[in-house]
Amino acid sequence: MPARHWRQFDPWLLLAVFGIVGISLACIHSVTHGGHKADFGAQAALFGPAFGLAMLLAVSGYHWLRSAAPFIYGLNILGLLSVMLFGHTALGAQRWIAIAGVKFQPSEFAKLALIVTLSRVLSEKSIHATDGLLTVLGTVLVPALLIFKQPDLGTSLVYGAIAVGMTFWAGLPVSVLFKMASPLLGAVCYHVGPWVFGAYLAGLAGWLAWSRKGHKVLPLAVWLANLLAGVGADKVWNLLKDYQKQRILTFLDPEADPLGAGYHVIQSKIAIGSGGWLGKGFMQGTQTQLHFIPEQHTDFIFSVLGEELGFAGGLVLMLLYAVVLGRGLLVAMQAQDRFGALLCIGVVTMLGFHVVVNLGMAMGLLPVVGIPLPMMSFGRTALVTNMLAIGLIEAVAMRRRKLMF
Amino acid sequence: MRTRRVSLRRRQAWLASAFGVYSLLLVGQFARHGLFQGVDHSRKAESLRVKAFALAPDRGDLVDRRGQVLAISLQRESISYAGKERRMAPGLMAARLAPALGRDEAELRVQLARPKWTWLKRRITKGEADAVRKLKLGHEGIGIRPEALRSYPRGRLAASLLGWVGQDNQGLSGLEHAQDRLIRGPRQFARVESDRWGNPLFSSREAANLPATARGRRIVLTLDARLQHHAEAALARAVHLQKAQGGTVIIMEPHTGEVLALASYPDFDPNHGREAAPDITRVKALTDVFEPGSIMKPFTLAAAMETGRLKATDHFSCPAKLHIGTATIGDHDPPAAIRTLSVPEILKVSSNVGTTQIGWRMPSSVHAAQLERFGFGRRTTPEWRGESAGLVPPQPWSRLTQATVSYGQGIAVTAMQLATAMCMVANGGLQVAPRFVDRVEDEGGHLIQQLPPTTGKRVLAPDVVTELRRMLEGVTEEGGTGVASRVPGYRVAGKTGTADKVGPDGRSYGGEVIASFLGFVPAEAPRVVILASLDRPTMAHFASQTSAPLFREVAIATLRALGIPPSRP
Repeated sequence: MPARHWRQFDPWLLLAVFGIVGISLACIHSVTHGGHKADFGAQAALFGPAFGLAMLLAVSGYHWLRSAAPFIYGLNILGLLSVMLFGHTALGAQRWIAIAGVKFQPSEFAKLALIVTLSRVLSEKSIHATDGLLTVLGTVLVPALLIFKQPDLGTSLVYGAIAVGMTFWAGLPVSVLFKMASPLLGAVCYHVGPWVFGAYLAGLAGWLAWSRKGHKVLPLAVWLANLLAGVGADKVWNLLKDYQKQRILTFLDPEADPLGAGYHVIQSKIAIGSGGWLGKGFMQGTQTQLHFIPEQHTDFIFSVLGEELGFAGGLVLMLLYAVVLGRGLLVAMQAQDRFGALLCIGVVTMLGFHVVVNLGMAMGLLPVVGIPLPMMSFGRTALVTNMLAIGLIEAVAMRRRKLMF
Repeated sequence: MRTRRVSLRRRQAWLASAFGVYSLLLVGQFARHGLFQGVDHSRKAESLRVKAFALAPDRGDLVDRRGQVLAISLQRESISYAGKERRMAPGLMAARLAPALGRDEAELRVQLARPKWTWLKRRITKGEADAVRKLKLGHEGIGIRPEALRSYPRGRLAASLLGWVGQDNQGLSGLEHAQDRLIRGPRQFARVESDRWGNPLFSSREAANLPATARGRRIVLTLDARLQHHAEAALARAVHLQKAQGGTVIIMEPHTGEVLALASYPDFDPNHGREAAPDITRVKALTDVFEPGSIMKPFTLAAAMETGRLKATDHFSCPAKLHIGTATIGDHDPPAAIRTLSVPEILKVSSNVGTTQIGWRMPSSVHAAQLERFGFGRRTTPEWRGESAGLVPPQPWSRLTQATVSYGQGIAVTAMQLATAMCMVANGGLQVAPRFVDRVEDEGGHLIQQLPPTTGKRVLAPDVVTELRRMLEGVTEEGGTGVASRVPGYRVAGKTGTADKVGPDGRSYGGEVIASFLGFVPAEAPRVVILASLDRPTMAHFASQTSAPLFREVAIATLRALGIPPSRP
């Protein structure tokens, strides 16, 4: 391996990752030291091997992934299918399988598989051509539906986000993204009121006619999809599991059921809010130490940080995430080829979406969907996946065409 | 290619600004909660965490008037389980917990598998609880909290009077129920940190500030455990001897109304109160009414004398039978001819015909008012929930009603009302009410609360009392119905009563009786009033042969225990 590769290695990215993992282990220890001590040990012990794997990936490069993409994708679908057939059930969902005694969540690795596969598709086919768009849609929908079925709403949303981020980067017009997403807006408008829905449909018709002069079938299909989405929203709503409905309703008004569904959000806000500027001190957070927040070392780990290390601690973490995402974006822009750039964009989108949704959820900006904070939340498969993702960025970084001073 | 690059730049700008706006929103929200509403949130956090716990202070100890312990609260710990918190497999958890709890593993597993809040085992010793504590299953929903175990070291002694407590240490019968608030003590609140499941963390610093009055109170009863023991033993013997269904013995101090003993048979073990039928655990002397029979006669005489309508020297001509309308009143064992009886003789031979004529001297409203002054038709003590008031028939009375009331049929009273009424004769004519609790003391024996003694109006003039006492003493002399109650060396005053007991249909009499003897000793300076009553004795019919000997046995033991000197050499 040329020395040039090592010179191009991104140390800032790695330092930021170390910082995040360090904070993570401290927080997990703080939550679990009284009870589930094993969780802390498991997470800490796994960091070494996960880091080793990431470095191995970085050194081995990313070009081989292009040819391996179909295999990775196939293996991934197989993994998700096997979860469906003989998976391990916990917390009302079938997410884990055990191979040789090691339990893991294939849906985590599936995120990386999707990124690799989409990178290959988007680097070879034009997103502007119909077959390119359809290939992308198919690639995303198969794993997304399998996971939605588990059910894991959060992770299927991540797939959607990865797809949107990568196709956006690949040049898919915003108008097309809007048209694809517009039925959702239609459903919302329908529920606001018949007048709003009517005005929305009229406006949509006008815009479609103006922007797509000459075309007939596609604009009509989009418009009809909006109409159907509005009228049929209840049917879709009924497809959601009770707990998913509850979470959306809770997001709209958490105080309505403070001891039930709204409990997480209220407790999380209270813990974060009672931290103040500098927090109550490490392992001194009363709400954390007395276990007022359920699942605190997984999805709601930010509340530990907010309470015990305060606003300052939270800002430091957000800054570290900004460094990780910023460096990832930089590497994407400097990547040697389109495949490498798309890999980085996929990883950045994946991590960014997790951070955005999880922090929004912890602070009550977004509904509670089970999306962990990458490299912070307890979760072993997720830790390995995220470290591999970082390794992927480093692999691209080591082979970028950056001018070295 | 150039346009694509430009478009990409524009897209990056869009994306960056969207991301930037969201980041600002996040930081803003963070600051809003963390900094500007920080105080508000801290307060909310505290209100969730620090709760005012209604302290459940241990029930105070019950001790008799001489300090003998009758009921105590032992320190125990109970193991609770919040099923929703469990993450461990129920089988594994059951395997660990079963030996520590001493419970069947399979059964425990079933209970652990349910997502419900339950008790796993209550009131185990500290040593057993420590074994559970060592397993460190707090995060799996296992909670350990102190809970007192109510224990009655004397077992069955005074069981029905003391009562028993339920699973949550609430008094369910007897004094435990009637004086529940007093025994629990004043409600105390302490602000204590608690975890999410509401378990108080008594290890926190607030624990040091718990009010001292929450522990170790003693409720001193008027009861004398020695007398209670003698009364119960004598009662049990008499019930067996007479093959009766049950019985009651009350020993009271006539001047203060202090209840020295209250024995009920059959009895039960309050340590296992749940296994006893409610029919047995209730305090029948207070809750059950019966027609008193001839025991009522002294009070009829007292009423007539007190209202100036009868003098002790009056005489009555008494036929064997008295016809009132279609009804007939007769005496027990009368001579065939009309006899003339003096007032003391009427009492001595317990003549229904004579007493009826005495009753008739009063207008019925005056008669009823006098009975109410003795406490009939009213509850004897205000705080005893479940006590019966008995029934003095409503006005106006027919002549027949007044006749039967005069000799104790057609009126319903409780045993406690009878004993209390006799106290008013024994104490010189003052109203009195039964007392069960004397005072409340703290751990060190310092007085916390003295329950007020009863002070009453005069119900009988001193000369009426003197006459009545002399007549009641005559009952126990040769030729009277109460000869069997006599105690060698002491002067005894009292009255027998063999009351027909209403049958199960509630209307007719089926030949069963309640045989009672109500009296006091020593007659010249009464120290104790004793009621001895047997329910449905079958070996002998009349109280003169059944309850009068029971009275004597109780009286002998009481006089000896209290060290009361003999009346005559």
